[in-house]
Amino acid sequence: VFSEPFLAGARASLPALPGTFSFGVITGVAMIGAGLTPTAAMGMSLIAYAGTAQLVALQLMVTGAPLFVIALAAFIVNLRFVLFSLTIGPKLPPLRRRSRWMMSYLLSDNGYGFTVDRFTHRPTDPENYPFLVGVCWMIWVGWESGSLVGILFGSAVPAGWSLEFVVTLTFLGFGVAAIVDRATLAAFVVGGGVAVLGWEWPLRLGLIVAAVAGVATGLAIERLTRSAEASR
Amino acid sequence: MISLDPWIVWPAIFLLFAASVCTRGAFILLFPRVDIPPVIRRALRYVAPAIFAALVAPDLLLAGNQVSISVGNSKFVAAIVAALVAWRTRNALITIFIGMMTLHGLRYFGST
Repeated sequence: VFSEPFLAGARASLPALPGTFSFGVITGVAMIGAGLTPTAAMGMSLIAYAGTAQLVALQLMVTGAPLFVIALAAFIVNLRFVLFSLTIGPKLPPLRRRSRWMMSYLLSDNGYGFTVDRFTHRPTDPENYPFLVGVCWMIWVGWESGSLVGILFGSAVPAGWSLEFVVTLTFLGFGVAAIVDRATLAAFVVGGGVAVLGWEWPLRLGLIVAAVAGVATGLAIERLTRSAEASR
Repeated sequence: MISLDPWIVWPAIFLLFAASVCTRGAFILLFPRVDIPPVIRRALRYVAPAIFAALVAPDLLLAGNQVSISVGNSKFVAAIVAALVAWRTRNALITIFIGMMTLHGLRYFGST
């Protein structure tokens, strides 16, 4: 039933499964902690299949943000996928529309991470696509089963554990991990600072303004650094 | 237990689906033959540090709409510890574990 490259992809994804599963558990717990019913929580993991964006949407829903801000924030945290899509999309073989929809749902951080090397160095290898599908389905299974466990476990955890802080720590970890030079550090500091200043602005628009200000600062610092190097 | 309005939750779930498909499928489904300008490509580097800092900073730095940067703010202290761990290990699970332990340790030993 399964082709050899599909199975090779599934095997290649194994090292990422513990992480994917645990992140699913964390998200499951957080969804219940935020007040979603178990049905809505599982529906969110199955339909949105968006890890980080799910947590962002939760945090915004809890603070009463309107739907358009939730959608905008989800789009912003998903922007990295545009880059993944751009890297992989043009190198896919001719696919049926249904397969394109499937890939557009299934492509994950790990799906990209484990295949980008093949697509970059062997762009015409016909085994790339089934390999990618194998990775992506395994990651999907890891995520959905983790979510389910988290949802079941989350309903049993007392509120005193402050499990919602897990979400804050997860995001903090993502933000810190993205700091690799002065420009990314500036984006981090300005993003955080503007969000604090704009906390009381209506509709949680402070978050969107903060993201834009942070990105603009990062680009500006990058340009300054580059022109300083050029004039040396 | 708090509960959220299903009229927000379910539309939000489908908006998240749309956000997922529009971004992941941007060059697979929607525009398989288009390229993006280099400035956008460079800007994408700064999205993660900016948005994640923006998402957590108010929760960590504000207490009752006042900026509170002190050892008395246990979330802030736990976040500093967690940020250092994240910086050194780049591992989400260890970061979360140490951060939660710090938060509960601080609360247990008195400072809130």
